[in-house]
Amino acid sequence: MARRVVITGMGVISSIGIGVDEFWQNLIAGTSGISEVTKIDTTDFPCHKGGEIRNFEVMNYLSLAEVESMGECSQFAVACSKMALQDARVDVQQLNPETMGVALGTTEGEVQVLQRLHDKLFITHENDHISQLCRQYPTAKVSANVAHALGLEGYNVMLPNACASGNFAIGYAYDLIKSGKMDRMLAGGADVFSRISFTGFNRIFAVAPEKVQPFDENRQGMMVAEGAGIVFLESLESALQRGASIYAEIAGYGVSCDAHHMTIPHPDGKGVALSIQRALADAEIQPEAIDYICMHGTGTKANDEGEVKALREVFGEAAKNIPASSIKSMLGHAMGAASAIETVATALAVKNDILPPTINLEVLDPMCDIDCVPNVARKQPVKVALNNSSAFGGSNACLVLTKVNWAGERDQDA
Amino acid sequence: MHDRFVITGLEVISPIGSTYELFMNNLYNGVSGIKNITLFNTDSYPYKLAAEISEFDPSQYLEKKGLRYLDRSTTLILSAVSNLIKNSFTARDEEDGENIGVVIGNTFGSLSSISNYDRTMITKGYTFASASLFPNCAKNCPASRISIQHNLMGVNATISNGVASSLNAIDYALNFLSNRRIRMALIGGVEEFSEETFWGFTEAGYSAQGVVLGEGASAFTLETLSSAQENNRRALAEVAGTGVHFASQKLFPQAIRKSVEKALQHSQMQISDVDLVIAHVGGTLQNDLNVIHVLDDLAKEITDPIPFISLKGYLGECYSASGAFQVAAAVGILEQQMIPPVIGVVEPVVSTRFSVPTLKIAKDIQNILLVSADFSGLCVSLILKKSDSE
Repeated sequence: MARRVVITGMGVISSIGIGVDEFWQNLIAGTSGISEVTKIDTTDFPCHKGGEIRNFEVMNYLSLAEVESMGECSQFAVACSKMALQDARVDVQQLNPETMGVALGTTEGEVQVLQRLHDKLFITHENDHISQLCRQYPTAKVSANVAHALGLEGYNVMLPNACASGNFAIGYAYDLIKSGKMDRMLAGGADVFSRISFTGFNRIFAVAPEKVQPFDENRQGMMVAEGAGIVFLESLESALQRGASIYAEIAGYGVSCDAHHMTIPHPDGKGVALSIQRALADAEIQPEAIDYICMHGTGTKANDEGEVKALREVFGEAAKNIPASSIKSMLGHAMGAASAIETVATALAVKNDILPPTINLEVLDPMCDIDCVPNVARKQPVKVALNNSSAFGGSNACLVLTKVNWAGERDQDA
Repeated sequence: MHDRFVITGLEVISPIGSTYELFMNNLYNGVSGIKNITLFNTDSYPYKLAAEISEFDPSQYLEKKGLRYLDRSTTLILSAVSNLIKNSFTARDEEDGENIGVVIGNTFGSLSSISNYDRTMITKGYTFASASLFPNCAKNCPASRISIQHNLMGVNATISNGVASSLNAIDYALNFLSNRRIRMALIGGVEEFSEETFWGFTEAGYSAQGVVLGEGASAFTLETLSSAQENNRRALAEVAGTGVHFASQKLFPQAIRKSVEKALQHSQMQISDVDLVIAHVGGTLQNDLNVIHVLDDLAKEITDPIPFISLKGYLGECYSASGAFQVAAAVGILEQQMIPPVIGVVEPVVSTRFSVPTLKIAKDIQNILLVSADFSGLCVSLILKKSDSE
């Protein structure tokens, strides 16, 4: 019989907080993490704001030798993995390293390493550390650095599936535990603030100048951000055996590709609808059971409209009434980390029965006529939730998270 | 009963041929793709060699419209896939895009495009960075373009595990096929050769160690045996099993061995069932041959030495694409029952359990062990067996 898979530890690095507690308090308080960009010179850009990480002290998590040996994306991933393990109260030294693996997503991997190389070559004309930086750059290093730092010998996969990467990684990790190939997994995503993304998104006129306003009639776009979100997954049996505190169960997931355009989502949300339908089928859950949806909700016209159309396709008229919020309104868009951070948020919503809000909502766009939990968090039971994500290239991934005792209650009701 | 998974179509764009037939012919004839670099000026570099595809012209395979906006990695894999689809897809496949997935091994994306984008921004200014070229900075661009061009709505994933990417992509796709999340997977590997990659490898010190870069793309269809039969597609080879193990560099040889043991266990085979090993370890040809030392102890009962080959003398270090080329060679070898020679060996490895052929050899080959190991620590092994179905 297939194993059930639960989240028992989480780490998060975000523009609204480091660690689960700070992140959650700011999330339900509707705190914005958007600020003036300091990591790149934005003088010539039309927009100057983003979701940068503040107050992250890498030395609290990594040794100096580790910091010097890896790029910033790896540093985020390793630090966040350590947070997740600490949160799960797991000592990896006590576990069989062959039965625990790493699945991570990213959009740009160690892009800051490349940028530092370019700065040295074309701006400062310095030639120190070039060799070391070249060795740090390959994307494969990110998941490898996590495994090295923690001594893990199981599956190791790096999925640069753009902005849906985190959910892809968590979904794969879920499969590996469910099938018995792995006993435990660290899964999620990490991305650092990127000059390339900031430039590119500005060039395609997708960036809002002041604030992110998903589903608002006057929304002007997304904002580039950074961060990491990593969950510790194990079987329900393992969690119960060691008396672990369970955030949520992963009941299933679905993925799809729009097969439409590299940067523009399908106008009818066709691929998004397919990933939700596949996730529900995988979890053997009916659409009526959904209590909350953590939306991809970037704040661009095209994304939000397409995503809401996908909800209508799957849920019909009921789509209007399912609470469906976008935490990108607070964090900005953390690229390959976004969906993983949203998984952390969704798991916390399931555990705490509180829905994070969509902040900055002034006038709801009639084309996005959903209950986006405007501006203020809401106390409401959440037994079953979805976490939607989409990406450049048209990839979509949707996770189904439930309260761990929900399946039993449902079966009894039936 | 567990599903059986078979490869039913395969195409390559490689430094030794842009058709699968030419690729195999050149392997058997010992024709190396390594030569002086022509894609850019190497006057300022101490190293001059690569296995580049000098005359690659994507317009031979793809519609000309929009080609100038596509990067080299994308056009390489799109070209291989377009040939594959033309040769392998049935009308039913064309209509069943929702159930066909794409999983591509690729680590650098288009490094040339990513680097150029940032360099343009910092040297010329923000407005000179083209909106049209921004998508090429996404590392999942090559895989995504496949699904977009061929209307495939199953999983679309890019696997970035360095040299182990392509074999890890197969393992990833097997998960989706086993769970019936898709009916068929288009799997492949791609890596482009560019001055940026060459510069990086040179600065990192890899070129000084003797690493010669290569490039190319290989793509194949993987599906259940029943799906192949329903679509009247011949099974070219069967995936018997995979093994994955990660270890620190200090324990690298041990990790390679463990991945092999896991693949043998998954395949329900012994090392004595293996008729040929094709190894690829990140770096030089000698690194590949050193796998013999790693496996020597595992094969101590062997009396008739197992042939052991590397493709690096032909293709150079194709990084993420190397595993997909290993698959291409293995399928051809199973079809033709002929082992190509190893070329470029400087230091022969002495072993009584493995032999390194320097001439092509006709041999009964039923099972081929592929070993792929990235210096980041990930080792993936895979066993391909001759298909027993028509």
